Amino acid sequence: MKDELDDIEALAAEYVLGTLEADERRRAEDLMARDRHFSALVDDWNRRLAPLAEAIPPVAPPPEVWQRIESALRARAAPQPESLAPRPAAPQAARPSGGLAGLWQQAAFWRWCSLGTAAAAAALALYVAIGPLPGPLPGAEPRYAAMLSESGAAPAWLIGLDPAAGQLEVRPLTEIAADVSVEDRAFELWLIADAEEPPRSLGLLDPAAQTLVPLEPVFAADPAGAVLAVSLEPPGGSPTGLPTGPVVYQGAIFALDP
Amino acid sequence: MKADAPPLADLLDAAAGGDEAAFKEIYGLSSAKLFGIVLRIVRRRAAAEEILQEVYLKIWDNAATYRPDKGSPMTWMIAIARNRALDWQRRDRVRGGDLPIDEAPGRETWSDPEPDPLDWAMARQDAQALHDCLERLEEEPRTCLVLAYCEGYTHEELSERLARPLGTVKSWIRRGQARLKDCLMG
Repeated sequence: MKDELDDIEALAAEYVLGTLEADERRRAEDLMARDRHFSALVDDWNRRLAPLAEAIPPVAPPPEVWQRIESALRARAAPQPESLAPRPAAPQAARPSGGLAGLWQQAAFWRWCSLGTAAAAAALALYVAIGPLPGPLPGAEPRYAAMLSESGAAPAWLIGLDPAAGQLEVRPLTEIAADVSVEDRAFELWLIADAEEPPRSLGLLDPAAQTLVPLEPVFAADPAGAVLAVSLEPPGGSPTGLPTGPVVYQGAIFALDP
Repeated sequence: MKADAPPLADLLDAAAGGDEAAFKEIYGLSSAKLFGIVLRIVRRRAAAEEILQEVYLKIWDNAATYRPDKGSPMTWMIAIARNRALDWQRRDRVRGGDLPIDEAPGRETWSDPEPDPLDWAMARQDAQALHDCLERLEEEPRTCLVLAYCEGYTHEELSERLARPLGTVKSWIRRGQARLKDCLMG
């Protein structure tokens, strides 16, 4: 294996990666226009690194953006019949499939992609604290999972349930601990199995590391559809046995495809 | 999952032929993903919106140039989006030190366009391979690659962020990419 890429391939690779300054980017773009081999190298690197981009959280653009695009198109073409009202992208959770491994990868990439938002040293320390890249526990085969998020936000907690091993594994996906608005609050996990019944506490979560939670007997039946939620409580957890603080994160449990 | 949603490749083909309804469908399916990517690199809402506009006009103008050997339609569009965002970041942005992100990540509107099943399956396989290969790198080199790709950091910015010499960072990137390429081809 060659230790380093040759200069031309390195130019293509770093063009895609994004580390080139303006003059080098221009040089790469000129080369792409003239040299089909170089252009193919750039395509190769786009394909290699694209999965990282796939994991960046989507953000709905405001409707005005489409309106301006539509106007620009109309300005170029012949006059169109009356314009249609722009339809905003319908938000709908795509249900993850393909086992917990697929979710872990996406979560892993997503965590990496959010590293840049905190001081590098703190981010690396947190990364080390959370441990190696997420993967299924040895011997455990999670059959169910849940992704808990704040309303309208990207998932903050990833949970795997393994009835056979009798436990629940909780992983924070963002630097929740770095958010000052949750200083001095404890994160408590609740199961809401049934609209008729009160939430049951499953204990406190560590916002900076994986937490293992023993499964309640209630999980012996099919847990799919039940809701898991996290509320902010005083240190030590709720004093009353029911949520006393805001329920910030929630998500429904779903069965994983084998 | 909409069972009757045409795959992105077909929509792109139709758009290449001037089908504006198809193009609008493409926008509906992909704009949140591309906007998220652009926003993460440029970190300013107003600029990101302008860039997104340019990106879609570019997609419209170049729809006929898409070929499967460039990857999935989404990969092709992501490249267009990232290129325009990086161009802005390097050329058009007024240099003034580190600009804060307008809103903290994770607080944005979460909207997930329904993925084409084939794109999704292919993306997962590729994701698995890249994930495993990235895992084999040392932590700091990996961090460099991820920060560069996801956040648009230059060598200088990486050197500052990680408190490492510029030469070290550059070497990590070149070696890291060589190892990635080798690993992914194996």
